[in-house]
Amino acid sequence: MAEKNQGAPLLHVEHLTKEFPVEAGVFASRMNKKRVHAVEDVSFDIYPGETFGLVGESGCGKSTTGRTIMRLTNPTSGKVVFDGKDVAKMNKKELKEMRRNMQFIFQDPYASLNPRMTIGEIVSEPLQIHNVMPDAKERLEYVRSLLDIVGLNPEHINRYPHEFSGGQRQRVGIARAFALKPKLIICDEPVSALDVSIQAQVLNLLSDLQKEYGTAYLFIAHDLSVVQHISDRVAVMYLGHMMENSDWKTLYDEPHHPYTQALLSAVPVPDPDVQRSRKRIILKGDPPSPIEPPAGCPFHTRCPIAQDVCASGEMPELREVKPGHFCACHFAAPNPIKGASVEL
Amino acid sequence: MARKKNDNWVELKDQPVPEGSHLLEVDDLKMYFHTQDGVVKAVDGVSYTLDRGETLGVVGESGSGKSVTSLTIMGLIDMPPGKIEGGDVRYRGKSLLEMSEHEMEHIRGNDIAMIFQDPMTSLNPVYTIGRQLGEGLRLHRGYTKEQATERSIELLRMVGIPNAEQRVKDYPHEFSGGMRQRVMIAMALACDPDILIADEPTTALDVTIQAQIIELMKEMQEKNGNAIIMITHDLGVVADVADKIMVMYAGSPVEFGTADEIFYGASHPYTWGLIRSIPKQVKDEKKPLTPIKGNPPSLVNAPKGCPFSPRCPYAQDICRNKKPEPHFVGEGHYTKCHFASDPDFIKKNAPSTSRTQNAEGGEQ
Amino acid sequence: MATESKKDMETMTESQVKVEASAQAEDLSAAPARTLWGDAWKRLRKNKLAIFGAIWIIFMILVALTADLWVPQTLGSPTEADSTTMAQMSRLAPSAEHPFGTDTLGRDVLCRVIYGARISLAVGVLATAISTLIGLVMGALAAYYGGIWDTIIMRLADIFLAFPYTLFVIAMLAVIGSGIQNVFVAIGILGWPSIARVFRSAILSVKENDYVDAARAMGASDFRIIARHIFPNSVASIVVYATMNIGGAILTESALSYLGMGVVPPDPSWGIMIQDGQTYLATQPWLMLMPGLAILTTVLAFTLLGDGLRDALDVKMKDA
Repeated sequence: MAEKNQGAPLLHVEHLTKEFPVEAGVFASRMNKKRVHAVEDVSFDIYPGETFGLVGESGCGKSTTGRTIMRLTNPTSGKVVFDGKDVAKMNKKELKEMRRNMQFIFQDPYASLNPRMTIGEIVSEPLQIHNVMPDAKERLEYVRSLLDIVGLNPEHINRYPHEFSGGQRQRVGIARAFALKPKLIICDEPVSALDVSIQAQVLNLLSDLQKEYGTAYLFIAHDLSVVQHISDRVAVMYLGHMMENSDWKTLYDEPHHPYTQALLSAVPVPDPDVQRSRKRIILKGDPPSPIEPPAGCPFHTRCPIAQDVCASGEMPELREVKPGHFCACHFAAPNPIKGASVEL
Repeated sequence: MARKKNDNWVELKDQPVPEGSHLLEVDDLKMYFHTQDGVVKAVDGVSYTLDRGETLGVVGESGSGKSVTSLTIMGLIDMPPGKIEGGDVRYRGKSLLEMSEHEMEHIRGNDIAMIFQDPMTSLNPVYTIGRQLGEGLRLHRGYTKEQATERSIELLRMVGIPNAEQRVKDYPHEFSGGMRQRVMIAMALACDPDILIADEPTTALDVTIQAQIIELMKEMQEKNGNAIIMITHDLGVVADVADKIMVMYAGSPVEFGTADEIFYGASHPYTWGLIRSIPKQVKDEKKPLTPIKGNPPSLVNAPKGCPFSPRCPYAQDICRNKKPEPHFVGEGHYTKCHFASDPDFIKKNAPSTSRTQNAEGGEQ
Repeated sequence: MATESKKDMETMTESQVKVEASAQAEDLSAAPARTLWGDAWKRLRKNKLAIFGAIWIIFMILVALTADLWVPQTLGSPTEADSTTMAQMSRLAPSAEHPFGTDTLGRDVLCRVIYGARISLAVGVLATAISTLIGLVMGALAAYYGGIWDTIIMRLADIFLAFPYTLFVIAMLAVIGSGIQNVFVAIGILGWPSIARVFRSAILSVKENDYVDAARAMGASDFRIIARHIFPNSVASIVVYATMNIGGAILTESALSYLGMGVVPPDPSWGIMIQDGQTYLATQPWLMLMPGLAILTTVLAFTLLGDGLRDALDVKMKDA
């Protein structure tokens, strides 16, 4: 992967922060200063053609990060630079141009396709919006070929989404995302709504398409094994913060953050022998509310190795513990929680 | 007081399991839905046995009938459109299918309890946790309000909810998802049931919370000795908890055996496909996954032969035309595949496991 | 590896085709382009009750429109009473000559019901058109712009809805004067809040869907998102609601005429006819029954059609 990382990043995210007011409304906004700290000071780079995985539990801000990069919501502060241009400062025209090169695949294969459009119309919509292939006949042929590529029968071009299974709908979503041959696709939990056997089909399809078109992925998911399988580099988020970020192998072999280690340890392994022999870390309690995040390290309330220093002051800085391996913990060390095995 | 004195009711839970039978025996159970579009064979010949202290994992994809099987056992299927087409369910030697609705009401919650995937919708938002916890106790055990509250606090403490005296007065929305699932478990265990049916209990939860809930269920089982039926699509979860595993496909079990038999000695192509579909821990090189081709079948126009034949890479003519009978690979380990009796076929096509790799002396 | 999994994909496609083909073999061969409205019509045609409602409505409209051509010749004038024969002709029971009987002034009841249909249908359709138009604009404004617009419009709607509807219409008629044109206006203007509410919530729920975000992520303009994604998915509820509203407007007009605020005698309207007939309910029930039946069947027809439209516009319904 190292050779890929040379040169300019395709996407550069720097100190990205996104807060939401807790209650919207005319009266609430003035009186109520409470805010959801969805994303806090997140920075990372994605290089052309690579897959960057973003894992974390629900409410950790991973989806908001993706949506903010796409500018489906505006960031509170921080910078998102795509292909050399700052996304936050783009005007309407530049934003449209940017979206030609950055596409999105959604989690819910039911809600992400307009039920009143045929799959042919759905897949050709990005082409129409960007006025690529104005010739209707040529466009139709192209859409049929796209459907074929993602493993759908081109004869079904005039069918509606509800006539397909969840896995097939996700293929439609993938065909739509690839229609403009974008440079980056943000995949927001693209397989978590699918059955195991279908999940594998879709993951393979995404890998094949990446090889074919050289597209970079920002792959957002809660399933660690899926993220490990598809990603070149992986970042772990907790309560809006990036806790650890490294290439997939190091992160899974030698996590330096206690949260990463606990997360890996919590994943049930489909292998009874391994399951019986390993000792698991069971984290106590629930993640704190992102409305009133704890002071210091957000993980200190559940961390088995937390010290006084973790509960006070600022969030520990994301520092480079090894070349290309970043970790935000005062006690960053290989497998910091002792006596637990992290076999996946 | 649900049970009147003159009711010559036999508390089944106090009866010994008859000689030669098991706590729960499901014997070739068939439950079909008769719909406008045709007959949906939701449960098509399910058989298994379960004893106290055991955990049965039921694995399958959506629409495989894994949930419907349990709902049928609990008598929670509306009939019609559902109809029992054959087979039997015996609990402590007594057929549940022959029981009256009145008798089943007593079985549910008291002898066999159930927890569901979504802890939010299974709790009533307008009643306090304490009231909902106590309901079963007052119904089945005739507890007074005070006794029920006291026991509720005890139960909440047992499932690890801090500050139980206060929390018993809270409403469901004041609990997090994981806490709610703890409440559901407390509620299910309130009457000390023989069998706990858990339908995807951790699917809606985060992985660190899932680990807590699984740990809790194991702890409770150790303490109470109840049996668990764990319905899930996650092979990792069954590998963690199950003693026996039933793999279901299109309403019928394709393979049944102990956890070790399923994970290290599976003999059905669908089980192989499932095992191959999961991304595995790899140390060096990533390999593409081997998915099962195609899509799950519709249960209405089920194939004439083996339900898996349209997606099976090894399917022959016989598979498409004849339904396979259970073939016993080992004692208590059966497979519904025409080729299961051929050891060469299994040896050639079965996926490699951590055990075979260790045996071959390859890297772990 | 790459080629191998490619092959995998191909065989997968094949097997999928097979599975699909066996399930829906009939429409695989021809794949004509399908449109939302074309499909809706196909589904509507299969709904017998809705078609029955539609036929009844068309029949009523045709009869009402062509009334001048044949009714006076066969059934006499709907308004003028013949003073010479009035005594013998008064309140005759239904017969072959007067299928619905005659009223106190000797006028044919069927004739008056037919002319009454003109007014009732016109009120139903026109008043609903007015309130739907206002409601769509208001609902869309509230949902798109949100914030202060939403607050103002929806609170205004609440105020309108807080008054008893019929009473509000009567009060308005008291100000602008009674008469049939004013009935149109009053019912039309006062009917918008419920339409606005339905449309607003439909838009808001459609807006939540990922496919709206998907369109934005594709770079679609606001206009395109509204026209292609939000409108087609929220308009169904309005079509249905408006259809059913027509029945409501007809009822309101009848009530107003019954109270003497709508159509001015001797012009016939179903409400006035009921009012005139109520005195004779015990002795000559057809005087009230016939216009009552006209109202009942018409309102029912619109409701059935509305129900059918709702199902037809839902793409998820089976096209069987």
